[in-house]
Amino acid sequence: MAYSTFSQEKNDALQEPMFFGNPVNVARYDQQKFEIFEKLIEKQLSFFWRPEEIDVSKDRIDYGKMSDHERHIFISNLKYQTLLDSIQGRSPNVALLPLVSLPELETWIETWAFSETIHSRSYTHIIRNITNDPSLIFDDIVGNKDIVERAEYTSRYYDDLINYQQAYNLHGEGVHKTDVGELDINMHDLKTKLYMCLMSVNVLEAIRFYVSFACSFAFAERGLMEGNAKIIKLIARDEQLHLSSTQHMINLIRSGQDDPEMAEIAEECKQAAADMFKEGAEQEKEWAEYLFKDGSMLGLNKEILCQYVEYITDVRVKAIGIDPIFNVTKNPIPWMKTWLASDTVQVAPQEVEISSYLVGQVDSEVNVEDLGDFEL
Amino acid sequence: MKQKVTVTVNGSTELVCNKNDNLLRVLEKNGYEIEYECQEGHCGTCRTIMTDGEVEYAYEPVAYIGKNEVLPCSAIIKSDLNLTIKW
Repeated sequence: MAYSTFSQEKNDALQEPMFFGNPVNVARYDQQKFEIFEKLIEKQLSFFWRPEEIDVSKDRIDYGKMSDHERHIFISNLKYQTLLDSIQGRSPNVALLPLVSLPELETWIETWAFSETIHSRSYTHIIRNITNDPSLIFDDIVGNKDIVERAEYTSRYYDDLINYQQAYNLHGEGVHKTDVGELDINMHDLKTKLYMCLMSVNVLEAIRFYVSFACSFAFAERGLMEGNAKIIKLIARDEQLHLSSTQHMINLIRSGQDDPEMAEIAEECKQAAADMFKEGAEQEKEWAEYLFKDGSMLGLNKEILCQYVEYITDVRVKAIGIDPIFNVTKNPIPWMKTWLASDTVQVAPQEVEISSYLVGQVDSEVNVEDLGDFEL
Repeated sequence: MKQKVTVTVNGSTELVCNKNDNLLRVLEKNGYEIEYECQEGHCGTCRTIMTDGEVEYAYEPVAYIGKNEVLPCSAIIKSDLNLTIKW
């Protein structure tokens, strides 16, 4: 079934599955099969922000004062996030849009990917501020073994799905010779690859980003790199929404409300999904080891970060019907909650310890000498 | 006078609170450490099992809420509740 940007076959989107039905023709939102995706779009649009709104100028001074091992932690995380969001800014569009059959889901995927491009732009904003030569940082990303290995794990599932769906769109089911070798294309395998790809994205949004978030917020807890932390806070808010969207897709599939064959596939893949989460968590723990190889930072070390990875992995897997893997019952980094809370419930800036808020404040200390010039 | 309601946890512990109280605050006040993040129902981190009762949401949640689940962070208690908290 060739993909068309304008399928002229008349279809009722309310009867279509999320994926592998008729391609979307008219982008209409007056009716929705799964209204949640329209709500996610509205929420994401209401979250819109631009990196330039956040003043990161003080970060340059903080960065200049950091020790070498703290710079390693900061820059390595930034590099990793840059690569992950580079992948996320394009892959949902390339991999999922040709398969989607619901207008609201199609638009959600585009809105989701667009917000990832804002994240990518914000990393450039941060990096430009702390170094005179951003190329030194950007050029190292694809040559860094520790970063590439982990990012490759996510992109592998996207690429696998893209290769299969392209062959399917061109040639239909059957055995076909392609640039990536001989592929045996059948709908069941294609749907399985989609499900595992969604799961891999879920792992990325559920746990992978959070190691980097924890480090950024740990610096800010000490009053360092607060501009960066404000940007990461906005990125984290977006990622919470993206995590919810993949959880919705996975749970709609699992529940059988969507495509009965996909529900069977979800059941078949249950153990593979749990294994993927476990492997993802182990990779993030290895990353924590790489980050802290030259020394810890005040308030955060490898052990605490590894416990946190295990803790949030258990929280995340429960959301998609998988039993806890590590059975860690206590959050080892309780202050993360403060940074991950939405602005709608945040107290006024002067009530929290964001020291950059105090820039330009009036010195309220008054000595007797200060009044020496006064005449009555 | 505020109307009292009872939140029963794991079938035994009874927490008496006011109708229209925030569920997360009630649980925290009584020593339950519920993991939460966004506090407005879009991340779903605080997802908890609720087998009986009625809540309303301060913010319309966009996070996934399964059958018999509640998001305490933004849930306003409207009746007696029955919760199962595993951790």
